[in-house]
Amino acid sequence: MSIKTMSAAVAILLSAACAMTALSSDGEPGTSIREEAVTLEEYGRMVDEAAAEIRSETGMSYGEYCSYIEGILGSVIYIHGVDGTVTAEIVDTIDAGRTGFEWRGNGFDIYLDSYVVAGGTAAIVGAVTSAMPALAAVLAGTVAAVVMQYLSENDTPNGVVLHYGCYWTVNTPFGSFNVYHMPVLEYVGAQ
Amino acid sequence: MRTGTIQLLSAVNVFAMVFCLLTVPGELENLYGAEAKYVAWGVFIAIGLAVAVILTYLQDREERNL
Repeated sequence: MSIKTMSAAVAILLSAACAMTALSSDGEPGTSIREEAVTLEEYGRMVDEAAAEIRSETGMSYGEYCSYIEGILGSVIYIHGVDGTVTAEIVDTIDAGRTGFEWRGNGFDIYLDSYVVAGGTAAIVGAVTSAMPALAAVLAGTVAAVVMQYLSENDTPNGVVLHYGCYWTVNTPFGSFNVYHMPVLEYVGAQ
Repeated sequence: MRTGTIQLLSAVNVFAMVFCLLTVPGELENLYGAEAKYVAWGVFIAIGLAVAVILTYLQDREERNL
């Protein structure tokens, strides 16, 4: 086996390992009361309904609700749903400590795609550049990463940006993250 | 270190750098904002280049020994 073939095989194996890690890091069902794949429109409607429920329970005005959520939550997340759906897991709607609600997605559908794309791209780049000098290979890989990043940011299949007062617990090979949404109750559809 | 091993490490280095560039900065951007994304890009490219420089040095040394 030539060194180039071996490099390509190692890169592809690493890619497969990354994909398997993403698969195995799927979130635990936890205290979910239901789990289903929803369209983004349904997702938006369900979050709106949850927000309305909280406001009716607490007596908050819309502005108070936004300020309250804004005090808890952080930045913006951009969800790129490849097939127009997200897998959402709705957990216990009332967190006693916060009189708020949790909307926990397991991140599977959203993040698996990006990891597979990243792993596949890296495998191809690693295989193609395996016969190049180390510095040239790194420069070529950097260019490839910039191009892929540009494509991923400018070719979002559904171009959907969700701004809601809720968060996702995302399990990745690098650990679990709570990814927060801005509490702006609006749905920005396909771009 | 044999030349073939260095080439293999070079391919793994490129794989790791590209994979990290395409995944980690996006996560950090979601958590800490746009600045974190660019810092992560810089860090990963710097690490990739540093490893490549070391591999290049090893390759040159190997070729001189041949």
